[in-house]
Amino acid sequence: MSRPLGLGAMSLWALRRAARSLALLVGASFLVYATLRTAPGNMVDLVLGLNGTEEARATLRAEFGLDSGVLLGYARWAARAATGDLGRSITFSPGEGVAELALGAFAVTLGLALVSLLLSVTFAYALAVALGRPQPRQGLLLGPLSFLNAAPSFVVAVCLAHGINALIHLQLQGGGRVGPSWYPIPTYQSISDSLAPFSFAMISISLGDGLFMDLFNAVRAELRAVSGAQFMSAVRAKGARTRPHIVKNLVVPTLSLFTARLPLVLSAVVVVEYIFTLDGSGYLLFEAAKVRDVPVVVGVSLFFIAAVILMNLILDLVKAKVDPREVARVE
Amino acid sequence: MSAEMSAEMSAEMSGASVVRVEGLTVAFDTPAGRKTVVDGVSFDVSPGEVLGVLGESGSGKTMSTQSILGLVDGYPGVVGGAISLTHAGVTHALLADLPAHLYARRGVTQKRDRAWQRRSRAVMTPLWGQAVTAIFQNPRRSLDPLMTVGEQLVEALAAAAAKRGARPAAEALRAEALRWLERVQMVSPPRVFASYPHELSGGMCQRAMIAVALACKPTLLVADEPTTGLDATVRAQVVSLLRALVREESCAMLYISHDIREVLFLTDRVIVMRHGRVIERASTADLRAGVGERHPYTRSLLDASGLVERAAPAAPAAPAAPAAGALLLRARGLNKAFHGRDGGVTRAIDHVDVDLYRGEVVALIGESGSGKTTLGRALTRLLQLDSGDMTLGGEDLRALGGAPLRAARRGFQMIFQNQQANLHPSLSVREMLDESLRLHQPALSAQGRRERARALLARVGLGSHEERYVASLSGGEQRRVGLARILATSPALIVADEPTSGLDAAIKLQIIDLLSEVKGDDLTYLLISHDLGLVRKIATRVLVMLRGRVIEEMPIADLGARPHHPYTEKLLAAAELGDRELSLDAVSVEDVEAGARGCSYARVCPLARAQGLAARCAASPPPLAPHPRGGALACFGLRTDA
Amino acid sequence: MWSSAGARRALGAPWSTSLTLSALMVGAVLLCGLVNPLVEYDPVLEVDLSRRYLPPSAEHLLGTDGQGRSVAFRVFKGVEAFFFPGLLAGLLAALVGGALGATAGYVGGGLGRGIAAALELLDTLPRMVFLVLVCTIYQPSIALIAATSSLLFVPSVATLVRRRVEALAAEDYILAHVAHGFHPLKVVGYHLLWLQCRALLIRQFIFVFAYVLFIETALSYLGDYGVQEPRPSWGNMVAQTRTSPTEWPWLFPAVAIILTIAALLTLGDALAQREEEVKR
Repeated sequence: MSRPLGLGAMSLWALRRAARSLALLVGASFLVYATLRTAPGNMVDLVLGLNGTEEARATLRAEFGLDSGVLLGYARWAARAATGDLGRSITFSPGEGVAELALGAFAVTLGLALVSLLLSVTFAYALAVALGRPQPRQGLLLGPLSFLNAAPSFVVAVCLAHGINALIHLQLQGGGRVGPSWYPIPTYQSISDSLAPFSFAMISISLGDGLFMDLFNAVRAELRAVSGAQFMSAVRAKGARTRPHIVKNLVVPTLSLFTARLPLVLSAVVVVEYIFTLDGSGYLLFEAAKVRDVPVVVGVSLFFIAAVILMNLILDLVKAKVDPREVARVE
Repeated sequence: MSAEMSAEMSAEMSGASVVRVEGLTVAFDTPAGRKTVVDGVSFDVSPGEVLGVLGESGSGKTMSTQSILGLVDGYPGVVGGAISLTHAGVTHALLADLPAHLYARRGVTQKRDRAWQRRSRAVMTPLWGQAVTAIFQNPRRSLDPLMTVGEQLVEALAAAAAKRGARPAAEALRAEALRWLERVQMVSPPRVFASYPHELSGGMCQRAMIAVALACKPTLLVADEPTTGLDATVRAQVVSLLRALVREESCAMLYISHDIREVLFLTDRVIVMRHGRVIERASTADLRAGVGERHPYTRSLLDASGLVERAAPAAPAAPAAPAAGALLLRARGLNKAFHGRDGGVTRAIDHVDVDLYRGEVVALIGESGSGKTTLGRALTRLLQLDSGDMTLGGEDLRALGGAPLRAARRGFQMIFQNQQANLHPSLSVREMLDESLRLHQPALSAQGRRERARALLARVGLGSHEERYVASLSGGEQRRVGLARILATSPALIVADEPTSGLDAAIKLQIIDLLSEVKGDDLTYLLISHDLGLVRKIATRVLVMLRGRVIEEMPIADLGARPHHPYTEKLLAAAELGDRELSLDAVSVEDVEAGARGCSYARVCPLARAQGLAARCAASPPPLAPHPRGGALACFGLRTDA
Repeated sequence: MWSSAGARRALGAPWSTSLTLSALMVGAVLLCGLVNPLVEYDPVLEVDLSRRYLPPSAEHLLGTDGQGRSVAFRVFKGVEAFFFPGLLAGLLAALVGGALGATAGYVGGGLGRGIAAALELLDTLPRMVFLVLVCTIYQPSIALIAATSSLLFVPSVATLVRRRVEALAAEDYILAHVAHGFHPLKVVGYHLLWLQCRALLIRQFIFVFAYVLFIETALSYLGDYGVQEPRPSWGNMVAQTRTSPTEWPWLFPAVAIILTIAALLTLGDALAQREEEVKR
């Protein structure tokens, strides 16, 4: 007799899961497109203003399938998007391809989000292991921490940025060097590629929006649930080592933490990036939005949506690989 | 009694014991303050002996045994006493330097918890699996969900070998693991070896756990309520397996249970615990024979188990002969199938006919998955039937819908197995009853409802509980409130689904008494239960279900008193563990896949095998035919006898 | 319904210090929000360049900003920017999410799966990015931002409610009420949503309110879509740090944002926890 969930069932499940992700991507991009089409007034006028050339207007109409109905228009637009053609920037960086523009920026954003999340999870685990079993006295540490952690990330970022700015200003006033070498003076126009703003952004994200305490509480609950699980007693009682069991059983909950928090962290990154003038998609998004460069804004949005869906898919597949119950559960 | 006890104690102390516990005290801090859950408990186990620890939930029996394993979780945990564990001729004092980890603050004993945990781990690590190992309740949760059963068994074997200094090859380990799976009566060891725990039934998981535990070749096995949540026949299988294997392996066992039948069946000696103390020590033989003076609590446990009734058969015949009341509910040809996502079809109810007469108590017995709950729900119009007719008091039930159905519902109520279902955590008892009365007796004024609620509470034996909340009520009190709520509608029929599940023995008896007390002459019960003790106490008629079919029907007096369907026979043997011949048939129904067209029991039925009927039984279902002594029976094998 | 004894008991349990402080803070914001429409404020008339960057004094409790306007008064007036939109968005998300979640959980089957799929789809939209997209395409206003925020929160509210309802269905809670003879609408609306999900809904309401505060201040800080100078918002007041990094008036609105959001979240958690504790 073969196991009901053999390799065949597993790959079948993976295929179905991938198909669902694709359907989600189609649905979400349609939502974006529909939002675009329901805009009041003529979209071409909205984007180009009244003095756009006839040629530019025609290009835009073709790019967004504006001549057809919503469904057909979406099909045309999506077909182009699927080949990597997301149109051209109009006002932000005229003529440049949106896909290239957004891809470069998105790499920074995704990197920032993932590194921040990874760092927060690591520290959350460290703190949870260090504190061990919950005790009343720990409230003295955790109470204020969770209160302060509730501050929005952009406020934390502003506080940090302000501190840096003030420092630079004082140094300038003191007649010293023209700003510290470790931090480029933010000019809110140019884009720096230094590690310093990246780390400051990372710190802001970790310390803001309650992310760290949220992760800490979740991690602590998982740790307690896994190490206190009955099968862990059974493992001890039979004289085997518990660590491999604990580690294996923590993989799925930890991945779930990632999946659940990623959209929130991406949202936080958008604002924080802008504050630290990091050349990411947050910065791109707001700068393009300022000049109403609709193709760029739409392109960046699509990258965010695709990234969330793709990360969810990858994490689900890894989870299914580790935990055979996942396949049975997510039907 | 004390003289007898001390004599016993000294006799125990003279022998070398595997484990000796003296004056063990375990306490926990709760929001309400320090609570001592084990209070100066002493006992010991000789090599190869089986000691039963009998007690209800909260009696401290689990904590006393967890202490031996060094697995007590919570603060401060073990705070006093001594435990010595003898393995391979060496005696280990597990709590030797416990006092060094204790200190007093404001008159309360505190513990250096982390240091103690570390020390305890260090002492226990070489002993786990060798000197002592354990199996727990909730077998599904005892196995790591992410590893196959085989991997976990091999892990145990490898760990045991490593402690002996050996490193057997992977192939040898696998072969031994398969051999163990066979010893615990797995139908297909290689398949179980490669299965994950979630792919196995609860009984199979527990048997796998027994294999894991005994494969370590321990000196002492601690079995903590290993049959909780298992069906009666599965429970019987696990218990008899445990009994046989422990003897074969000549390993000592501490068997913890709340079930006196299991304890009497398995053990050589018994201690009874209550409120953290040992209140009774007796040999199993004495308890069985009813020899000697007993603590009133032990007495009540024996009473509740129904074992005493057996000893005195002249007890007054419990239920009066069924008054031949008018027909209340008539159901014909009920069918209900559930379609699984994988395309499989489960016939939850398969051509079932039921007649209920006014004033009757009809018991519906069968194992989980037999469709008895589904049938109960079908009769109360809680699920859509595929086909069949139902009339209640002459009214066509299946034709009702919407408002008329809601109005008719006051005539037939259901007690759900999960008592949380009928109670609100955020409403007081009075508010709950008020809600029901407003719904079903709209004519009553607020004052009238208040008085009625008070009368209902008095009727179910609750006095001053009006302003209480569910959380502050005990399990028994919750059942009473649930019953009061149902009585508020003054129904004609109550379908009670396992009304006493999860209750301690004494409370169970009270609830049974209450049920028969409020019944009166007119009320009709359909009692869904696997508890034959309860059934014997109040039922007048019994229906037996197997995989969606009613296979036997009999007056209560005939239960156990005439030849039964082989499956009913098995149910009885499992319920009356030790009192009735239990065929050590390896296969229980849960191991056999459904889908047979004929009798679902055909593939494992000893009668069919003996009479060479297996093919015929499997081909078509035997019809439910009247039995000469009353009732009916669906079995080809017994037709001729009848 | 608010006088239901359970809710009263939940509030009646002893209050911890952090909970008391949070409640006071939220109470203050609530009071400011309610009084705000009654107080007239013309930000242009307030400008008085002769009293720039005054330190805190009896006349100007938190000092004055770069244009001589009272910081305290602007902090008070800044509540208006998020208060009513936040309340409305919270209410909308809780009501729509609760209704959808309860329907999906109660009805189940094809409709339930359909609702769940639609909610999952909505949940893939990154909130901040979608808000910017909507603001780029439509005329940005705080009403639009609040409406979009509440829409973006409907999936999470509905999913929580649906899980709770499904758990209750597994415990036969719903079936028991149907069996008792209650009208299905009463079971969904009263027994499921009110008796069993109210703590969850109130917590989500508070959460959405806090999110609108966050979004409003963040967008106002960034400058293009939120409240524009000279009208005050905590966000655009904090933004002054960009033009005058050495001055301090930005600090007060920043502290106000941190304290208000922290207090809201603490209060929401505590209320939910209390309700759970009462049940136990």
